[in-house]
Amino acid sequence: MADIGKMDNPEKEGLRMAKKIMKGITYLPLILLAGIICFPVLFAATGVFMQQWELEDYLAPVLAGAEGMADWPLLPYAPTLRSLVELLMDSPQFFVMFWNSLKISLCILAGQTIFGVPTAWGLARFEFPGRRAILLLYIVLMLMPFQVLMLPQYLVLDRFHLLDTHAAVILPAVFSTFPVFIMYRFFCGISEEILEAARIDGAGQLQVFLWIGVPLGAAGIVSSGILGFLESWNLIEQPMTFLKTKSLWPLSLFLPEIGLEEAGLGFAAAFLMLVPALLLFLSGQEYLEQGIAAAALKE
Amino acid sequence: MKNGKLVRATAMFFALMLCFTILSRAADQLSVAAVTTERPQNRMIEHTVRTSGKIVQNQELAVTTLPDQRVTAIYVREGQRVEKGDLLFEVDTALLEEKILDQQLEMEKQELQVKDAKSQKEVSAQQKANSQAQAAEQYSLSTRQAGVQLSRAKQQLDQAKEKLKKFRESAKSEETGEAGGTDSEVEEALLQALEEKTDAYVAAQGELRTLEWEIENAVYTAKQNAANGMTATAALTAEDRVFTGAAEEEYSSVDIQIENDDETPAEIMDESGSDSLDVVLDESEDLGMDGGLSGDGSEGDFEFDIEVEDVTSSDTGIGGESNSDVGDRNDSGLDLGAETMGDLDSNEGNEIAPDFSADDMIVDDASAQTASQPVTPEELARIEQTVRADYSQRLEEAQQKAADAQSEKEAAEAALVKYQQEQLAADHSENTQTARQLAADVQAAQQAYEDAALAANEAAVTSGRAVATANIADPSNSSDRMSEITYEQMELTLAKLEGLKEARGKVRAEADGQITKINIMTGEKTTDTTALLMADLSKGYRFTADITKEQQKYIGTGDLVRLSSGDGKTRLEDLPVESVTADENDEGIYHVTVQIPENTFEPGMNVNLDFIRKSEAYSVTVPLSALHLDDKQQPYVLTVEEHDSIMGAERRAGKISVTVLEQNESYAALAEGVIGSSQEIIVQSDKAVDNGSRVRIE
Repeated sequence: MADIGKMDNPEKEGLRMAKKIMKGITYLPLILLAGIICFPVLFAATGVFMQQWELEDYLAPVLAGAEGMADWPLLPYAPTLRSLVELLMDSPQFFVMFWNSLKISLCILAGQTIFGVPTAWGLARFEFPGRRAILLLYIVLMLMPFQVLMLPQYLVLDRFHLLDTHAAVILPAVFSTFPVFIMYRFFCGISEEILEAARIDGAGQLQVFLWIGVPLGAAGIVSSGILGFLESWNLIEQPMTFLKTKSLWPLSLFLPEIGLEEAGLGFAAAFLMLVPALLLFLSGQEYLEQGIAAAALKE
Repeated sequence: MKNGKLVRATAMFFALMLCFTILSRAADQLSVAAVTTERPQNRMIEHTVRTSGKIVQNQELAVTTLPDQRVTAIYVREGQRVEKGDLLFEVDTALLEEKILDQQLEMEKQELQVKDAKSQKEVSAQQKANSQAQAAEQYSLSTRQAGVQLSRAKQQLDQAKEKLKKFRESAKSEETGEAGGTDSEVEEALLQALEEKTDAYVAAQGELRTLEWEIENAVYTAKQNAANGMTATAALTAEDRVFTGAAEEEYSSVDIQIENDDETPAEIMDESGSDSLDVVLDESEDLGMDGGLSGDGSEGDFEFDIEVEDVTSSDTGIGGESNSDVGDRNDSGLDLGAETMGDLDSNEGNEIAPDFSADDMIVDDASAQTASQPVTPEELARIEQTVRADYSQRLEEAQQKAADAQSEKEAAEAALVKYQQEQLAADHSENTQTARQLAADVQAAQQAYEDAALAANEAAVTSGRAVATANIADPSNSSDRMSEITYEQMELTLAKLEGLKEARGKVRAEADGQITKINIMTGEKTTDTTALLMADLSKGYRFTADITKEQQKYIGTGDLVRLSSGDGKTRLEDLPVESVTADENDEGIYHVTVQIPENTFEPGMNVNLDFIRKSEAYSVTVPLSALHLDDKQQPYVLTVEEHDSIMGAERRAGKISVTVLEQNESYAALAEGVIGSSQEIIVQSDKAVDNGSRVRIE
């Protein structure tokens, strides 16, 4: 028996080793893919500290039509903070756009919170005729790309004389269906018993929503907020379409204004543009994962 | 905790961004130029001509006196008004008297110099006349003696020939039936041929000598002319030098013509009267006078023609019989003559006309050049070479001709001698010796005749050359006249000195005026320049000033200007401009003159002129400070334009090229249509502003 038991142990060890090897084999491509995905970030971070002439050498084949292929080193040849200083000290335009972006994003977040949360709560917790049709409409609208909605939005905004104002970008995003959909999923997950208990205790519908629904669906609200911020922070098409006045442009339109001769400035701007999104992501990483998972659940 | 840090980091990030926003805006505003703008306006462009000048008199009088006079007193000062007859200044009378005395002594010396110069000139003329007369006399004697010797040689030759002829005739009569008659004819023919060849030889020799002397004469003349500064190169043509005759054969004839008033050739060449003869060589034939013996080949005669003209008996004092009529006594036809060789004219006094004067020369256009500078030895050598080159062909021809004539003569002699020897060899009679002797005599006589002819030729050439040399004119001498002129000038100076002495050395004003300048000082001596300058008050005053070329564009004759004194107390309005003229020496400077009324401004005062010329009204005028010039010197203005930018509405400078119609020192009028009346034009900025520069309106 003992021999048999001794014989069993080596087999288990072998199986364990095989599992480890298989795990390693599985991780390797994942690590490689993660590296490829992270490379643009490294690309931007390296470019911030490069001299202008170095950037021109590397990027000329892409941006200036020079012969050969673009090359990119992992570390700058002559590191410098010149581009960063120039951006921070000599480019007031950058800050105008930065604050425009922040204004647009925060307004969108506020609007989505004000209008999206009650909408999601109503769709999730109330039964009324046409509810499912509205949900279906929300999903269809969520799936539609901006290019489809651009013309109708433009005509409506023009009719309301909102073109070339920040409202032209903010209002359509406020009434976006995607955050409602995410929060809907969270609110659906709240147990009916808890709500019933609250009602038995004398709570009205508003109290139930504010004191029971919102706290219990906070994860969904936060995750939708983070996703909404990231989306609105990176808006390009809507500002380009609806905003003619340059002073209203968000930061996402700063980079198209940059040429090869200001490539360092462009990398520095991209780097700084990344910082708020990164900070927000790190703050609400947990909720964001839950929100993404909730969005993936089927009805 | 972790979220708390992230929140703080986020807050910190945004705080930093806020700080940098403020800093970058502040830095950005530092580069923005603060500008002052103005809109185009409708106005006239005024051009102000302002200058200052002086009041000057219309006419000035100069007061002068004799130089080297000591000024003892000056009675006027600059700016002082004087009337006609007022005493101006005074000179030292003692020194003046001393000067007068000196002047008188100098004049006496000058008078003596005039006399000396005249005497000297007369003596020179007399010496010149003597030398010319001697040369002419020598020429006459030489040619006459040569003619006599030649005639004697001819007589001896003829006598020898006659003897030989008679001897042969007698011998022939003794030997009848023989062919002596034929021999005599042959020998006669040979002799005749020899004579002809001999004559031709002599003529050729004479012609060669003539040409050689002619060349030397031409070279000398050309050099003289060059040295005298008339022409550096005077190439004489053959026509000027050759003896003029109808045919080439006449070149060699010797023509010596001496004309006599009383037609007595015998009196001409008397030695006692030769010193008073004046020889005038005929222009056209002077160079051919040395022509030598003329050979008339067909007749075998040598002809010398001597004609005597214009010699008065009183001058020459000739009473004896002339030796020159040799030709009359010479049965061989020998005639000494001097046809137009010399013109002895006592009535013409000292007049001497050199036959080879410049008037006779034809200047070669190709080589002639005016020589105002001293002629170098190289230049003289070149001139000589040129003249000799002109004659080289003729000289070679003459030499060739002489050589040919000599060889022909020698051939004829050889033929005659050979014939005679053959005759003698065939004749063995006793007369042979006699005949040989007679033939030898003929040969000797023939040789003597030739020598005499050559000697006559040589004598004519040599003595003719001496005559020509004596006829060369002396250099001009005007010292006597110059001394006279100097004397006359001294007389004038003395008269002035005496006039000043009569006025007791006082110099007075000749008209009313104002002293403007005094060039003399008390105690100093006067110079030959003006002593005093006076303004003629009767002619009025004028204002004169200088203006620039730019100012001259806006002021012209007849414009009414304002004149004001430097202190502003006196002001005259609407005075017409008399003239605006350019300065002859300084380009860009013009003189303005304005006639002023009497009793307004004093001469010498500083007065200001003001004149404003207004243009038409222009609808677009901008301050001159708004006008700029680009690299191509094209004018432009900068306007303020609003641009939409990320920073909001930005003001930027916009460049607009304009056409300037007129401008003064403050404003410029621009062509319409380019700038609108509502556009803001940048007229001032605190930083350099160019097209596209961001600006801020203050």
